[in-house]
Amino acid sequence: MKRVKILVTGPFSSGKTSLIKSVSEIPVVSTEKAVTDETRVIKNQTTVALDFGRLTIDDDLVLYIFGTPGQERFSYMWDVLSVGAVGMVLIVDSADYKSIIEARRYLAFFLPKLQIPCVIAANKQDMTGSLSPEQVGQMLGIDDTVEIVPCMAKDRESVKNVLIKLFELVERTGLAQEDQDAIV
Amino acid sequence: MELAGNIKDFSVIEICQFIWISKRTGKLQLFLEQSGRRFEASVFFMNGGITAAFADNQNGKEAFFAICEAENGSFRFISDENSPETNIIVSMDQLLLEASGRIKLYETLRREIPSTNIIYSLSLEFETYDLVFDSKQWQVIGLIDGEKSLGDISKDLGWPEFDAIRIFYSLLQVGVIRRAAVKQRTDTTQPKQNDPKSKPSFISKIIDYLRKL
Repeated sequence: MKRVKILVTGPFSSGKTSLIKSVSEIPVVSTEKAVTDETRVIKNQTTVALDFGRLTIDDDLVLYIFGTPGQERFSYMWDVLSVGAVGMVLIVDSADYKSIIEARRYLAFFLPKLQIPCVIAANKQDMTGSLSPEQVGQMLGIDDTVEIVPCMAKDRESVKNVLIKLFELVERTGLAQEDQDAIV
Repeated sequence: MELAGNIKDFSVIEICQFIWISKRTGKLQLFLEQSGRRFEASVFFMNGGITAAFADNQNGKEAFFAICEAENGSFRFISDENSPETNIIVSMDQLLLEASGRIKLYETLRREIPSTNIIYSLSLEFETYDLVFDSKQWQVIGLIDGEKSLGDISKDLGWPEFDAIRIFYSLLQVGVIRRAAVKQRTDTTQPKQNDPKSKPSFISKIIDYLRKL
């Protein structure tokens, strides 16, 4: 059984859990706890360890989707979760400038460390006042080589499109190993 | 969306960039602290561009730089409030660039050199006759071999990485060195580079599956 693993990461409350829930064939396993700090005003619970979703491609191939903690104080988890991942979705809340600025720090800090293909999902495109993917790209300070995909994390079709873009990128870069047994 | 918070979380430059990109008009009101001194300041925007800044007894660009240099403080954006005067006429690009240069040297260095895993080589194009290097620059030049990363050289020299980054940056600026490659992590658990021509079939399977999902 070949197991392929991707990461979904992004700032606090950007939509990671929703994105995984939209496509996972199993109820998403979330390790969450009630927040106790200023983040309470945004969300009652936050991901502490991980979200976990699964897609069975065929009898010999399974895709695992790991959502990483949304707050910097859990950044130590990255080293654990990123082992063997073939790609990453960085999701940002296009309607929240704090989320976008935070995502820029994620990009600067984590991407050079991980060195895996990454697409950016500009989430909450359906919300009033959200920035367009192009504007999100400008805010993130990235060039045309990084693909920014419009996204509504609660919409299955939209999430499918994001994942397809990611795997097309993985295929183009040739980073994934044919014989990789990616999951821990 | 609401635009308010603390400048410890988001720098003034970041906030201004956001207002610029979202083309807002109004006043960014700030309550700041610098070296124990507290002061109120304001920056006015017209369609995203800064038209005026006021801080203490200063106004214009100097006021804006003082605002950017503040250590602590809070901010909030008040929409559709116009400036009583225009005292900044330079472009946003130029203004933010100048401000960044003054207050964020390290960040500037990091933009050019995002990782200590980068390997540099000596540039074949540069001409030395009009360049003068100091001893630290010579030490770095002596160790650049197209194989060692910036981090490796930093360790060899026993320097803090910041010092090494600063010297590498200075050499990059004059064209003496150029980026050659990025050192791959030796961690065997990471994906390795394959021949791009041999596309992994399981990726194609996943793509097909997602399309039909």
